[in-house]
Formats: sequence, structure tokens, C-alpha cells
Amino acid sequence: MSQAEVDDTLKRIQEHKGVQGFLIINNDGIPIRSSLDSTLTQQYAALIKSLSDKARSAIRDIDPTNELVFFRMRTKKHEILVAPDKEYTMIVLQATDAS
Amino acid sequence: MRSSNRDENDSDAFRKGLGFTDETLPVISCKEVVHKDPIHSVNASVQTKFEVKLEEVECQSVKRKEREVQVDLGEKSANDEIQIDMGRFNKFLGRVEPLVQHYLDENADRPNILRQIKLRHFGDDSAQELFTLTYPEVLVDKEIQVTSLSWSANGSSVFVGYGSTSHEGLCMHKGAVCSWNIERYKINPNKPDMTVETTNCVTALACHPERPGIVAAGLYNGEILVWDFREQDSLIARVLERQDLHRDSITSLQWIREPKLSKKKFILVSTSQDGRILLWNPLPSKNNLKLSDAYFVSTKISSSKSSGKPIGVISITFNLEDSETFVFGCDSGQLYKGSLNSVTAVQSREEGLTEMTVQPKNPITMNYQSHDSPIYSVNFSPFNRHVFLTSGHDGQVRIYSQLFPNYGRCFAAAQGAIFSCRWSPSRPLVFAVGSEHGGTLIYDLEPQEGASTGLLSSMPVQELPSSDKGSSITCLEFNYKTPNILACGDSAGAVMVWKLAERFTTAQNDEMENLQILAKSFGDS
Repeated sequence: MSQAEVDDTLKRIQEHKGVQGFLIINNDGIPIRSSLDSTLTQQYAALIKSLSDKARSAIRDIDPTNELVFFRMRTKKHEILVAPDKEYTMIVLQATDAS
Repeated sequence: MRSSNRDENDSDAFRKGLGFTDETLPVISCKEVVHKDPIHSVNASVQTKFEVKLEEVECQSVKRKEREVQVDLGEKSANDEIQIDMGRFNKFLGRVEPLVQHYLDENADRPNILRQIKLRHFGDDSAQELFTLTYPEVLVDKEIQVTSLSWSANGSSVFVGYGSTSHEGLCMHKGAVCSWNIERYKINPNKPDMTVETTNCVTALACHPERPGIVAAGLYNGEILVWDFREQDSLIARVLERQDLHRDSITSLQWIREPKLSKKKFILVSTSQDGRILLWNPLPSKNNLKLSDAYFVSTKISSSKSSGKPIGVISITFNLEDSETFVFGCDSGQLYKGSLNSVTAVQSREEGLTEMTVQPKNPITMNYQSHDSPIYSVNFSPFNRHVFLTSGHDGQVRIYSQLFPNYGRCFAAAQGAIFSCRWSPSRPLVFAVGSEHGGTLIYDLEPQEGASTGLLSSMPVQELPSSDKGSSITCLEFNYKTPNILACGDSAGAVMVWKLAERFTTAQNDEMENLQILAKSFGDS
């Protein structure tokens, strides 16, 4: 429950193979923790937030009892992993050509 | 001395006696010239009002605004000011972390995750037949079939050469070259847009790669004709120097970029059963195809009687990157690499070689493992500079790398002879062959889903029938402008134009690399 524990978890993710950066936003789309620079953080926060809201509502429209848990996007340069939770959303960027 | 001299002179003049005459000189009177005009002098002074104007305008606008910008090098990108409930945040992390870790691990296990994604083609895999083009007038003669095909430079017209393959000595057939524009709204498959009759069978046909109206045709008697169908008088060039003509039927024609000079101009390459590979300067003045280079392929020089005899060259293909390198297949089944840079003189007692305007050279630089029968078709891959296909009368289709003498892969379709093989212009691992009994066969070297990887399937993935059951596919050509269109000419005299399924036209991400890997692997085996 401590700050140290949080930092540990984030560090584990950050040091994972190929991870370029992570970002945690709250429900208002405000970045709370980020390892990216501020412009990228702002961009990702805003864009992924709207995308994840859209995805969440799509899933709910299909089946109101269902819930979006996780999605990932493969791009040429990296993969974007998004874990939207009730209060926060975690976004992780992982390079695709990590070898 | 001086005084004495003078005395002498004086005394001489004195002695002769001087005569004096009176002379009246003209009088010169000088008039007095007096300026009578008094000199007026006026003193006037002109002075414009002189005023020095000085204006001072300051046009320097300096506005300074001061704003303090401070970039925090620390983790300022996230907002720390927002109060978060550490307990709930930690729970969130606890829920999310395993998920993220799982997928990160999954991705990290694969060196390139995109590698694993194969495009899946939906929809119909079958080819759609667009047209069956025939020219009934020339097909009155039952022996006439389609011998050659070529797409025009803009990809809209297909040119078809008609002729026969059964000859005993002289050719008594009437050949023809026809064209259909497949993009026309009203296309009549039984009536070509354009027809030219020829005195002999047409054996080879090649459209100019950049100028849509220009077509070159080779005839059974060795003649080469070049037409420009946009001109009124369409025949624009032919060989006028008889000694340069091929002595036997033309087996293939190709336009290549002139390698030596500008690289912009195109030259025409012809091969023939007489063992010659000739390079022509195709668009000169005076309708004359001018021989620019000549090569001659003959049997090895030895003591036997047959030494130095010509070997018929049947098929030729040029490397796309290095246009001076080519591979050619022979009547005897031999396969050689040649170079336009070759300077080796030909040693042969063959008649007529010495009379040619250009002395022929021996082009061979490398021998490849030969086929057992005539090689009807060779074709360099448009995607890899080393890989080429061969096909022959023995029914085998082989893939070679030009670096290694032995072939890398062999496909035996068991459908009789393979008259033509062509790589797909859009998919590096796909090629089509025209077979004697089995129609057009399309091969895909891409490992299929579910099949064990690494093992290339040796079965054709698609078979397109010929127009008539008993007929064989004699030639086929992909349309380079619209790569999903394939034209196949058959021995029944029809040309079938197919529209291939998306599967055969959309390349995978890693297909080029796979072809490279394949080419490299040929050296190991």
C-alpha cells in the first residue's frame, strides 16, 4: 500500500524487455504516472483515453453485462497495450522489433 | 679643309655662270577681322531654394515580453498534484500488472511480433475469367496457335502473335499479330482492335516498355519487324542488312535498357535457333534495324566434327538490377549465364559469321546444371536479383540462384512440357507456369497455414484450365500495370485473360525476406 510498492511495480513493467514507456491516466484522462516526455504523455493520454472509452462503450452496447478488460494495438513501430480499469487506465508501449 | 672646299664650290658655280629670271609672286591680301559684336555679359545668379529637410522616423519596434519557461527535467509529465488514493491505486496495479506482464512476455518471446501476423485473404480464392480472345480468321488454319503474348506499356492492350509450331522445313503458314484493348467498354473477344498479317509464323512478340504503340515481332524465317500502331504507316523498322539476319526462327524478343550508354534508350534483344543473340538499335532513322552487338553460342571446340556448331538459344532473361547479365536456356537443355561485356571471340567455322557487320562474341560466363530437354522459358525474379525460374520440355520447373550452379528447387508438374514460366509482378513468392496438359498452374512458395513450416509445397495452389480441353498453354504473361491480370495463350488459338484472386496479388510483409532466405539456402543444399 505504499509508494515504494507502487514504484516497484512500475519499475518492473518499465524494465521489461522492449518496453519503451508506460503511462497511467485516471478517468478524467489526466496522466498520473508517466515515463514518457510531457508532449507524448499528453498526446497518448488524450488519444488513448478517447479510444478506450469508445471501445468500452462498444463492448457494453453489445452486451451490457460485459466489460472491456484489456486491448492491444499492433503498429509497425510498436505495440500499444491498454488496460482500462474502473478508475485508472494503464498504457504500455513495447517495441515490436526488440530482438 | 672646310674653307678650301667652299672655295672649290664657289669656283665651280662661278665657272658655269648663273642665269637669273624675274618672278612675280601672287599678292596675298589679309583682311582685317574685327569682331564687331560687343560682348554682352549678364550676371545672373540662380539659386533654388535650398532647404534641408530632416525627418526622423523610428521604425524599430521592439516589444519584449517576458515569460518564464521552465522545463522540469524530473517526471513532470504526469500530474502529481492530483490526489490519488494509494490503496485503490495499488489494487488497480495489482489487477492490471499480471495482464500487462503476460502480454509483454508474450511479445518479448517473439523477436518480431509482426512476423507472426499473416494477412488472411478473405473472399473467393478462385480466379475470374474476364475474356477469351480469339481471332477466327487466322484460326481457319488448324495448325495455327498462339505463340506469343505481350502487354502494352500502359497495360491496357494485349498483343497476341499467331503462328504454328509444327514445321517441316519451310513455313507455309500465314501469321498474324492482333491486339485487344481490355479496358474498352465494348470489347469484342472475337474481333481484335488491330490486326497485322505476316508472311510467316510469328514466333516472338515484345511490346516496348515505355511507348505503348510500339511492338516488335520475330518471325519463323528470322525476320524482325517493329511496328508503331499509332502511326499511319505502322511498320517503322525491319532488318535491311541481310547478312545480319537470323538464319533460323526467332525464339524470343525482349526490350532492355541500353546498358552501356545512356541507360535511357531501349534496345531490342533477339535470340534464335541459329545460336545467335543479337542486340538491335530499334528506332533509328530510315526504317533500318541496326545491329549493335552480336553474340554466338556454339558447342565446345574440340577435334570432333560437331565442334563449333551453333546451339539454338530458346529463352533469355535479363537481370533487373544488373542489366548486362542475362541467363539463357538452349535447345540442348543447357543453361548458361552470359554477359554483354564479354569480349571473348567466337571460334567457329559456322558460315556467315564473318560477314556480319558486328563480329559476334561468346557470351558465356557460367554454366548451370542443365535440363534434359529444351528450356522453353527462363525468367528472373522481379524482387530478387539472384533468383530465376526455368522450365522445359521435361516438365520440370526449377528455381536457381544465379550464384550457384545447381538448382535450388524443382517442381515436376507431371503435366507434360512446361512452355512458359513467369514470376508474379506483385507477390515475390508466387509464379505461374503454362503446361502442356494441365492448363496454367500457379505456385505459391509461401508456407501455408497449418502446413509444416520450412517445407515448401510442391503442389500448384491453383489450376486455370485452357480454353479447350486438349490444348496446352503456350505462353502466359502477367500484366505489370495491373498485376492481378494474367493472360494465357493456348494451342487452340485462344487467349484467356484471368483476374486473379487477391491472395495472389497482395504480398505479405516478410515475403521479400523469405525469398532472400530461400535464395541463400540454395547454396547449402
